[in-house]
Amino acid sequence: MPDSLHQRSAVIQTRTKASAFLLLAAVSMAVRSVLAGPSIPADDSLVLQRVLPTADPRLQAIRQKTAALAQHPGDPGLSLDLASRQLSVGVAEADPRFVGYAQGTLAQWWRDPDPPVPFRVLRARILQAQHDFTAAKRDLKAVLAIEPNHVDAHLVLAGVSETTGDLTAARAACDDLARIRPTLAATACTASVDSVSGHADQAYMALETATARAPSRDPSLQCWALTILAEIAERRGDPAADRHFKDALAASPADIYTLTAYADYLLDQKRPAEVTKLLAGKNRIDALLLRLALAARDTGAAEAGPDVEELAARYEAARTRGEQLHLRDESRFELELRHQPQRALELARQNWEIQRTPLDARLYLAAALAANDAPATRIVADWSASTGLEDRTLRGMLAKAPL
Amino acid sequence: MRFLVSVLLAPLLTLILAAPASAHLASDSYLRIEAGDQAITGQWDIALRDLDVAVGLDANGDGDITWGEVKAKRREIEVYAFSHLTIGGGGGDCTANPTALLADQHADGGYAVLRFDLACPARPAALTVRYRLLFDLDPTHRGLLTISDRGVAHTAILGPERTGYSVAFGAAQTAGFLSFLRLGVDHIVSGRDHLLFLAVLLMPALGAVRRRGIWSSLLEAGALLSLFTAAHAVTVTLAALRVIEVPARISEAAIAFSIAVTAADNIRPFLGNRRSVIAFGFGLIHGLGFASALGPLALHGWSLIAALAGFNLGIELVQLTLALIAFALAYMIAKTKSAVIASGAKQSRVTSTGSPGLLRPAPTGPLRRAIWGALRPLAPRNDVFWGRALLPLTSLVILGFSAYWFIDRSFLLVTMP
Repeated sequence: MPDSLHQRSAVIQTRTKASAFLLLAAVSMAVRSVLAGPSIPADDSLVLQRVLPTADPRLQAIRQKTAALAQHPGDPGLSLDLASRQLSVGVAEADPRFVGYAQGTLAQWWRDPDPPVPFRVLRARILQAQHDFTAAKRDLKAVLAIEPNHVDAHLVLAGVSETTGDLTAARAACDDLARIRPTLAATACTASVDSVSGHADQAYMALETATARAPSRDPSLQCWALTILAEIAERRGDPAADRHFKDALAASPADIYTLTAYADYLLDQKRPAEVTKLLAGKNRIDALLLRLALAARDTGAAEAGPDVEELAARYEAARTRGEQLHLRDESRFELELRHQPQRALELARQNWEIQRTPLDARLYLAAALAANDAPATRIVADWSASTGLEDRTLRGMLAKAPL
Repeated sequence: MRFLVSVLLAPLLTLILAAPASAHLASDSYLRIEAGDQAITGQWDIALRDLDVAVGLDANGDGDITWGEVKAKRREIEVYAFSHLTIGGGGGDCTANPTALLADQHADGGYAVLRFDLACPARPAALTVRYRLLFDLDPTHRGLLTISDRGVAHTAILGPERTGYSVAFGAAQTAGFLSFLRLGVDHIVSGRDHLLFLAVLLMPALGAVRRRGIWSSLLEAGALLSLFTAAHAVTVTLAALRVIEVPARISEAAIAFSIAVTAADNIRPFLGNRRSVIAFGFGLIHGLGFASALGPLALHGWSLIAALAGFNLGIELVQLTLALIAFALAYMIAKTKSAVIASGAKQSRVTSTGSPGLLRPAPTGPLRRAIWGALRPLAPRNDVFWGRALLPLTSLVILGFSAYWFIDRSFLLVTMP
């Protein structure tokens, strides 16, 4: 066969392939665009949305109470019960809608400057879930002024205070709790605060003993205490953290806070494959989807792509409505998945105005270092020195920081 | 090439086939009202999760809301939604007449899309929206409202603290053509992808400038550019009309791919005489990338036509100007060789052969001699040097860059801005 003819057929072949590719790309885009915009689905059985099935016992109870409340509008007891159940689902599923329903159920007490104590405590817990820590504290302090021995109010106040970096107030609330009811909750409360204010060793030993010797029969409380223990161990660089996280999840396997914390630990330990396994099928929760995307990046799996896109869409949707629930995660997303240190730093700075836990400090510092921002680096360094925080990861980062 | 196609195709397909997951976000609805010259229409996207709580959609209680279940409750959905929305015109309340029920996916899951026409007592001089959807159930619900008045968008976030929003309709749409002309200019000047593609597209013609003469080359280049502009005018228009919506990441990957293909053709031609077809085809793809510039403005009517005309004209204007400069330069460089040779004795003759008005390649003064001296090393000794060395080498660099860009967008490494 003459060379020129051979070449020619090769050229034609490649041309056909190139046009086939273009056609394919065009068709694929068309399909994608049909899915993306509003349309009338051709198939009636197409599932558009998953919700909790009717059979879910929590939902059944909520439905039952809602019906009862419709019979007795404004009934205080029913309202309190229903709102508290709605809040529980909201927290357990990390679903702001249910937190919103709880607020709706408390509508007639929501604007009340001085509602009865049980309503005020529940309102504070809803505000805490919405990250309105200032308003939550105000309610809790008002409650404690009337009922100084209110266990829940002390516990929530300790949590809110610790989150916002007010360690003195947090410690005082834990002390009161220990005085009123010295149970595992009080020990965990004290240990959590002590561990970030210069007494990590003592705190660890006290809490390890308490969780082993006097475990709570309430699985969510036991899970919470063990997660605090795991986090203390993690900050001390103690490999026992892994065991404590596993024990915590054994007590309450679906706890989102613990799943998130353990996933972060595994990512730090360069064990991304375990994150993928741990969080499989839990991608509807933003915090967990972020960890899945980070794990996919670390394992080199190409599936990280759609997750990044999806996360960006969710943060965008939250921002459109002016919500600030995602600041820390969004900052990490910008820093680690989008490689936008300036944007990450801005979000971390906003987050730092709202909450100041060791995790917030780590992220703020990481963003400040990536963006070469000396003043922000200095803020975290000063904060770390003033609290006496023992956190190996943070110390390591600060040691390398150009200060 | 076959290798290139198969390697680059795989990630693009995985992107396209990825299905949306539904997230847990707080509750929002998206209410868009568009006031045209003739009619006022609206579209209201309400989350199926919220409608499920309000009117009960999951009829069989299995936790899956299907399209069939939504359709069966169409009447209830519309009654519920429109009883929580009042839109007032100047002379009294308008009536919303539902025209269609569709489905869509947003970041947090499935939405029912309610389209409606607005019937007002008189042509309103202002619209007032009163929004009360879901606030009784979920006070954290927000209505994200956009009112477009012949191309000008007004937005508001409505909540229990702020349920109302008013817009006074302006007179004729004035801001239009010129601002979009400028937008077109800005877009091409700041977009590296567009310039890069034009560079690889025109490079062979640039190289042939000496052999074929500047006017013939320029004409060919002008035709290529106009085809390119015409094609992306088509897709930009379709995108602005929301006929097609392509995520930026996919259009960017396609753009990177088209640059890579053209660059590859410069190195080893396989497109043959079909570069004009390619210019048109890739113009279509590039238009998708520009869609984001006009997409969110929600224009319609004459303002849309003015905007699109201005935008596309702006793009074409910059393209032709840049091409003119590039060709003038190429011609100057190509002529340098003869000019330098001739500079010994017959300077005046060379001056007279230059194209009138564009350039005068005779180095008469010391300054000009210095410029010509600086340009001399760049001058292709002959077309072979350009065709065999400079063109393939530059194209290879661009090919590498765009291939990396393509991979970056396809796998979402996002290491590139």
